[in-house]
Amino acid sequence: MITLALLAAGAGFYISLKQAQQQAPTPDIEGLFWPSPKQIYAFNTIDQHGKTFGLEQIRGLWSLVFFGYTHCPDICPITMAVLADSYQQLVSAENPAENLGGNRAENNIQIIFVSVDPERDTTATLARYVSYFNKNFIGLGGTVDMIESLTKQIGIAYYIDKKKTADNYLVDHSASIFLLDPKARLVGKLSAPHATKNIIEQFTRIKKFVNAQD
Amino acid sequence: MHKIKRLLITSLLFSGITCAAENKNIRITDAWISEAPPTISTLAAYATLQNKSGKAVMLRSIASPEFAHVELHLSKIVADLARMEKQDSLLIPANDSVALSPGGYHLMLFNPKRPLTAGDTATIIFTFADDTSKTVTATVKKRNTQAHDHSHHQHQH
Repeated sequence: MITLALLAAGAGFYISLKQAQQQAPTPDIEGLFWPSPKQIYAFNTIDQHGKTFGLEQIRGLWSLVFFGYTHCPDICPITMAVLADSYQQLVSAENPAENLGGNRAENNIQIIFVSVDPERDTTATLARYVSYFNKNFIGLGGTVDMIESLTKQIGIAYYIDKKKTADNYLVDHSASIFLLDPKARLVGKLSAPHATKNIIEQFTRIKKFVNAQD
Repeated sequence: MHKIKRLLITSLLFSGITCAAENKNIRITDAWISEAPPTISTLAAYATLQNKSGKAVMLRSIASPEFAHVELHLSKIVADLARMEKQDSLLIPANDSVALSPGGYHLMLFNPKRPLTAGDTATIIFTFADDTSKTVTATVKKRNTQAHDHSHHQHQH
């Protein structure tokens, strides 16, 4: 068993060595998924206004995506508050009124909160929740199947603990913020604990790198 | 007569609560409640519990007249999965302090009896294993994201 694991690790190392030899070196950017970012295909969720939200709504924009639930009182609001702060700084830095040259679309950022608690997080609840942090934030929900049409592609796990009393159950969920590029590719993951400075730095570096590749 | 009896019982019950001996060894500072988005029925509260005595003190339960019930939880991120674990008690070591802070130990305040927004206050009662208690007033505040950037430097003993 140990031999097998060693063999597998060895093979993995060999493959990554080959890849490194064949391609231009990938810069050491924390959280960057490159050279093979995962392409996101059609998905089908409902936004906080009750409208369909799918692939078309992420194309052409940089999306920072966080998965959580509104009854989460600690990790989720901490992350949302940091995202609100980061968003404000990124938007004002990237779209200064006097300098709108270049491709404006590539500067555009959207912050998406995806609820993994479809039972309690109704459209109305999501609307009040996300707009509390920033009026431009997007809150996605829908049925379990709808939510999983996105979570399965991004590869996040979540676990609803129904052993608790019906009203106050907890949900385990990914703590990371996922970064989708305007071509709907999963290009990066920002790991917790989150801080505004780190989010801005990592996002800016990943974006600059990805833009330079295409 | 019934009224008087009821009044008597009520006052007895009430005095029973208020007369729980105050714990003189525990000092609770920086108690605050994080303002939640409207209609959200679970709020988080934080505080620092300092044990000035030479003996460890066990926190056993927490209550608040402004909420249906209160629990102590610990947020954890393990292998990228964020989860909360309910804690039945919390040990405050001798001559030491324990911080309930964002991303770690925190109080879960369930179902506020009235909407609470920044500036409001709520009473929180901490009860210890020896049946002593400590009552504090916690102020509702908006989250300050800057504070989280320094969360690694909070343990000052």
